[in-house]
Amino acid sequence: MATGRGETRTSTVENTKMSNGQPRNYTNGHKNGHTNGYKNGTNGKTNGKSEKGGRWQDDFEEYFEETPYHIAILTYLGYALMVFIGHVRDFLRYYGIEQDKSCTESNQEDYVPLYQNWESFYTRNVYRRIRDCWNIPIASCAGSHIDVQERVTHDHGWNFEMTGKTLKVMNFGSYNYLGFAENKELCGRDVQRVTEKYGVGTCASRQELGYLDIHRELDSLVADFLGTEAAITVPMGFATNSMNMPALVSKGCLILSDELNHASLILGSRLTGALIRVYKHNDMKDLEHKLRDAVCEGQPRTHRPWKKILIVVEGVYSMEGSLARLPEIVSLKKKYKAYLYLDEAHSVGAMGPHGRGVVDHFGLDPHDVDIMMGTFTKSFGACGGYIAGSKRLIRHLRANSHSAIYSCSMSPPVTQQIISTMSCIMGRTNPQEGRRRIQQLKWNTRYFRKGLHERGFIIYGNKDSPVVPLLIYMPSKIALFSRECVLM
Amino acid sequence: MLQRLWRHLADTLRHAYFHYSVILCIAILEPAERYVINSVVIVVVSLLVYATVVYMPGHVTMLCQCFVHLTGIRSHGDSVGQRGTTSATIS
Repeated sequence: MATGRGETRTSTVENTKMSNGQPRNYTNGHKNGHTNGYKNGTNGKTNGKSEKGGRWQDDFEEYFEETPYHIAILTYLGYALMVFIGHVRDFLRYYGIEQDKSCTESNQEDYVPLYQNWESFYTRNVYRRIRDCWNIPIASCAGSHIDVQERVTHDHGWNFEMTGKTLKVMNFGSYNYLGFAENKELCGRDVQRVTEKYGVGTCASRQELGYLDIHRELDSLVADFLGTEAAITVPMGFATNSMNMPALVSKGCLILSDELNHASLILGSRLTGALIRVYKHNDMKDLEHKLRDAVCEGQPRTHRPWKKILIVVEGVYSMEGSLARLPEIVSLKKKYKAYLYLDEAHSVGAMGPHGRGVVDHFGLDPHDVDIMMGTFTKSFGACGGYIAGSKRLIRHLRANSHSAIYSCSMSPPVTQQIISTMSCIMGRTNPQEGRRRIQQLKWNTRYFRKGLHERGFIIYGNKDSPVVPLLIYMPSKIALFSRECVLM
Repeated sequence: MLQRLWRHLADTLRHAYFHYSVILCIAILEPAERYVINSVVIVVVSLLVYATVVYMPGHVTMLCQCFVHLTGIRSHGDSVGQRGTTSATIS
């Protein structure tokens, strides 16, 4: 249900420049030929190096609309009603008037409770009613069209039963940006061949007989793809951040992390033992202020200089859909001599004219970013992550990172899937297919955002980012929206 | 014609109820809870309506009279007449 706003933002509709359905060229900003004294590239080609002046800033448009007052008040009222009813129902359940179907701990004599907290109240009374909107079981390949298994609940969300029917729906909710999460001919044959040759499990870590030749091939391919000297891959995306940051940063260092960083980055930062300072989301003035304070004042009590300062940002933020202002961050880092850790989980494969991430999107030099991290879960249809940088960095990580020493190495079919999709995107095999998918994603992003905006929905984020958060606010609306989407 | 009007009215009411129940999260409550909340809302609204219809005109009239008394519109006219007569007798 649309929130019923009458006006649309005209600036976004004008700027999409999609009159003939072609994806937007980045040379459209070069109308005048010269910007601030720097000569632009010839028409149809970009320079490749970062251009000063307003070029990327003209292109960079983000919106985070304020919630209308009446919607905020009504949402709070709705939640208040649910909490009040929850308390009443809990009271009834506690005194045995109503049967208690939730999982409660058995209170042993003299033991303190192990699990009691407010979260279980919320889960029991609010989340339980609309639980059928999440954790939907799928009975097919999780690609662009999925077969959703139908479930019914006869006691209002406590227990589910499968009816046995499946519904075919279009998938807008997974991170399958380039559509590689499929079992068709493109990568399927290679993956089949590799599975027949290597099996499925390696049963060892990289350091002990789990390092296959396809892992070596993948590492060098990732380094070529991103334009760095070397790369190392990890079988789990979350673990790439949380297990590798402690090898790079330690106590006595400073981490400047963005407000909206992902849970893996926060966990990794906390595991390092360094001091963490959070700056406001994408706010370069705040970041510069904190950098300057850190360099001038040093560590908190002793005022000794910091061992290192690490700025941790993400390319595309997965919950807001905003892009990091990478050119400004790179210039700040060069000015104050800090290191930059860029998490490209959602942007690698999905942003940039060649699909190489936000560094490609802004036209920066990959050597400016010290540590580039990303995951294969989103655009490549596989699982796992990588860290790329200089040879010295990767050599250090190979010996010292927890994931390299202790985790099982990447499964061979998954490795081959990444190799096939990455070669496709780079243009080495099936160049038409790779280019087509990247352009299709860009067109889809612009079209989808424009369409939602015109219908009056509130969406956040940068107009180029493939992550489109649609704000619905009220829990009942969320439930009805989800049910209508799945059943239609 | 009359039937169409009734149907239109019924549709509007149904839409209005749907909007109200979705916005206040009543749509996702269990039926028993829904009865309770709706009856509470109906009781409160009917009390408000009753109070407005029965007590509001009287209350408003009383306020107007109070306002008039405080600013002394009517009594001011009487006092002017009296002062005029007393001054005449003194002089």
